[in-house]
Amino acid sequence: MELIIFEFLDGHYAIELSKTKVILVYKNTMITPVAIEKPWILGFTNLRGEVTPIVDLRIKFSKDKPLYHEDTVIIVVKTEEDKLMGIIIDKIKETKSIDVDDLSITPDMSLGMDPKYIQGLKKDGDDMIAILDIDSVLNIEELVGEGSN
Amino acid sequence: MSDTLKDFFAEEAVEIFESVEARLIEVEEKGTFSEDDINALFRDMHTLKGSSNAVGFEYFSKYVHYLETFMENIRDKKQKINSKVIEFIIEASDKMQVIFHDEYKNNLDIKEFEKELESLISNIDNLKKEKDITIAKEEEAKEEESPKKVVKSKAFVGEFVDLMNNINDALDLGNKLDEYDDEFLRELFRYVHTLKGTSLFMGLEFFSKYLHSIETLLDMAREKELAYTKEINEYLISAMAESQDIADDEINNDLDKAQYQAKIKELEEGIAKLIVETKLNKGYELFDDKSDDNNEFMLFDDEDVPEKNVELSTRVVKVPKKELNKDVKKDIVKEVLKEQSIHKPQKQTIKKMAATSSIRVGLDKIDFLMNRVGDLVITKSMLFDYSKTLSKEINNRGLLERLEIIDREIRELQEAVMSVRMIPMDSVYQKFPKVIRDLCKKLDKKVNFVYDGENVEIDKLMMEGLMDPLTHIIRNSMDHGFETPQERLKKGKDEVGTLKISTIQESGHIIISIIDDGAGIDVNKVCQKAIGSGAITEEDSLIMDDNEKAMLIFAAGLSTADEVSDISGRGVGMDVVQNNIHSLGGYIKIQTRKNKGTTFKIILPLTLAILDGLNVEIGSQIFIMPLNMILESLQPTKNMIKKVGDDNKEILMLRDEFIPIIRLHEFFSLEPIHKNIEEAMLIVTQIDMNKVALLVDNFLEKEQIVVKSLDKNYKKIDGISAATIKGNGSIGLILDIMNIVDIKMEQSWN
Repeated sequence: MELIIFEFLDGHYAIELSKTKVILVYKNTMITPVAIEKPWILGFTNLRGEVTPIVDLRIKFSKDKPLYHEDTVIIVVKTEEDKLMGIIIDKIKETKSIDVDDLSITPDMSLGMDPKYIQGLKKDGDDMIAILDIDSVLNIEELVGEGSN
Repeated sequence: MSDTLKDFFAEEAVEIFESVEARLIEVEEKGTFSEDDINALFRDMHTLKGSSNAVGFEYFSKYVHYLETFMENIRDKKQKINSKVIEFIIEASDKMQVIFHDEYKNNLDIKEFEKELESLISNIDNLKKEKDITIAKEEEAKEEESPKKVVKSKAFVGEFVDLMNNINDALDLGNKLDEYDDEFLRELFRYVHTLKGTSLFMGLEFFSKYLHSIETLLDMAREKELAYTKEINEYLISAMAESQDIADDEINNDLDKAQYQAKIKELEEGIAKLIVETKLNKGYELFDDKSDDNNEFMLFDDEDVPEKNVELSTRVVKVPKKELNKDVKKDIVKEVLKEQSIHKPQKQTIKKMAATSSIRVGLDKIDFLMNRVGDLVITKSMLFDYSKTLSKEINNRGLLERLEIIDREIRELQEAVMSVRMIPMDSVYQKFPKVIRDLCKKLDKKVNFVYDGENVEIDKLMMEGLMDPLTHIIRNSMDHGFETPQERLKKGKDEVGTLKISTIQESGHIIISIIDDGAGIDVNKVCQKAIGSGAITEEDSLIMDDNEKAMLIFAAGLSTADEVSDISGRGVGMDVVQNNIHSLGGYIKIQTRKNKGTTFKIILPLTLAILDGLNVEIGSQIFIMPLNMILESLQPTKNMIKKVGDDNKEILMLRDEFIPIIRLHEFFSLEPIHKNIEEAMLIVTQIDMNKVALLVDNFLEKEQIVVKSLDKNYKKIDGISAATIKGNGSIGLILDIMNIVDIKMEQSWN
């Protein structure tokens, strides 16, 4: 499994490379805000004619005010609902190929987010990489949901 | 090959199904078949059987075969007509469609099919046995030989020409071949057979008869009762050219019977000769006894033909090669052709008809075209945007004028592409007689279906989104609206109810009305239910008029039916109706009067794809307001704004009207630029019959926008109907005024 690994929420996270479509530099991206949606839904950008929503999951999962700087990028993914969506992350680290067998099942412990959003964990030296399950983070219930976030 | 043929046939089949259905419903109303009905139905069945068999619908064609025979018996007066027979045919043709679709999708359950077939056969037998039936009168039976105006269905012209070309190609190829394998013969036979069916459907009776002879010849060749030779091939080439003339003449209605009979005789003699040359003498009888004394459609006895052929010798004799008069004949054909082209240069030929009438194009291609035009519109906006950054001097040097020209041309292009996607309402209406008929049966009601505005054109995409809501409304009217005949009589109404659909195009909208003369909506009952389910409060109900109360049927989960039936009453239907119509950018209204009936009005925009918008500033953001929603706009003065009620609701007093104000920045929780309402701008819009004034901070420029769905990558957003790409490449959001008003209303009720 090919992963794209990035810094996010004070840790290392990853998304399956096969689900990644484009990477945009945040400061070059025009985002039209939508005020009445959930605060973590930043707005929409024009990705080659596609109206693409941009989400900042840091607002969803963290109380700290998110920072936007030179390295902030948007990873555009395609979800299983066939939707294109952009996820803002702090900084891209690398891409890596890993063995699916190496993944450990998500333990039910504090990750800063509900374990249902994590597809699996991978030990990387002293670090731990959490693979985001974008399909559960971005599914329609999450976008509509009545939750506090 | 066979798959494309299948698809090809499927399209044809669906059209035939529709025509069969329409006719049967007519027949049911009349209670009897006219001669025309019988012939047409028989023809349809025959075409279905023939074509389906040719493209490999084994089971379907088997089923249709029995129906065809049944129709044939009716035609030949061997089967008497009564209401049971009509009922039977209607049911059987329903089954027939099911079988067709199953087989088309390759999931036909063979056992199930056998059962259906058995029951069909036994039904036919039972009907045959019924003896005490009065014979239905056939008044129109005396239409006779008068050259009646055959309705030539133009829809098939394209297919016709394609098939003709296929045959000619195959024959050309045949000229180069030395040996003819089974595949070649089968294919040729299939084309000719399909062409025969198609031509029949177009109403080309002579032509199809002519082709039938050719088909028979090919059938023999296919069955190896006859050796297919180059001579035959060449003969067929000239015969096909001849047939083309016949078709052209027939289209123009200037083929007389004598002329035609001469031609077909010529053909049959030619063919007979070929057969004689290839076989033993028996070949003659096949054609002679058929053509001469029967003016009727004897040519359809496909069943008989192979049987006769079996008796014929299978021995093949070598052909003596000289005798054929094909060369002479070819010359004659040429001469005739020349003559025609000289004398009647403007004469309509079937090829020309195809060229001018229609071609089949996949919807995806049109969508692609539409999208490209959409991109062009966006690019144009970008150009306009860019021109603004240039100095005045450059702009004055004619740049703006040229941009205006581009603007106009793109608009024209876009309109042209849009018009390709438009289809007449007729195709929407066609589905309903059957729905209504079935429901009448089920509910024991009598309802007459009428419609007008069938020529009003509607976007194909919109039509697809419209089918479900319309069907829902009709089912609802049938179930709840119309009374039973007894009740109607008691109320002093006509026993038979009337359901009318009409469509008109008016000031940039398409308005579809579904009018029934039933019992009307029991608004108090609806109201009680709505209060019960918490959709509104008791107090709300006091200030609502009947039509507003009726609108409550669109509230989710509301059903006035005390019992859930399988037709309606689950309370899920009507809110879906409203949602579907909203997602098409339209809205729906109800007018209802007790015992007089109910009218549903669906108001839709003309197109979905491109519209004119006005950029408006609301707080820090810019939204787009669809221009067609704007009645007027103004900057209010202090004395125009009145405050009413405890919560100081603002009302705009405009001339004699009081119009509620919605502050859009409140809706979107944005900080307004202008604190004072007199500095801001009001846009007056109308929804249903009610006017609403929307408060925005500023007007910006007008822009043509290409509508892009938000659902595709996201979901619906409250107050936003869709997005677009603006001149600077950013996303613009289009206000959903109807939705905003709805939400505001709901809020003010609660």
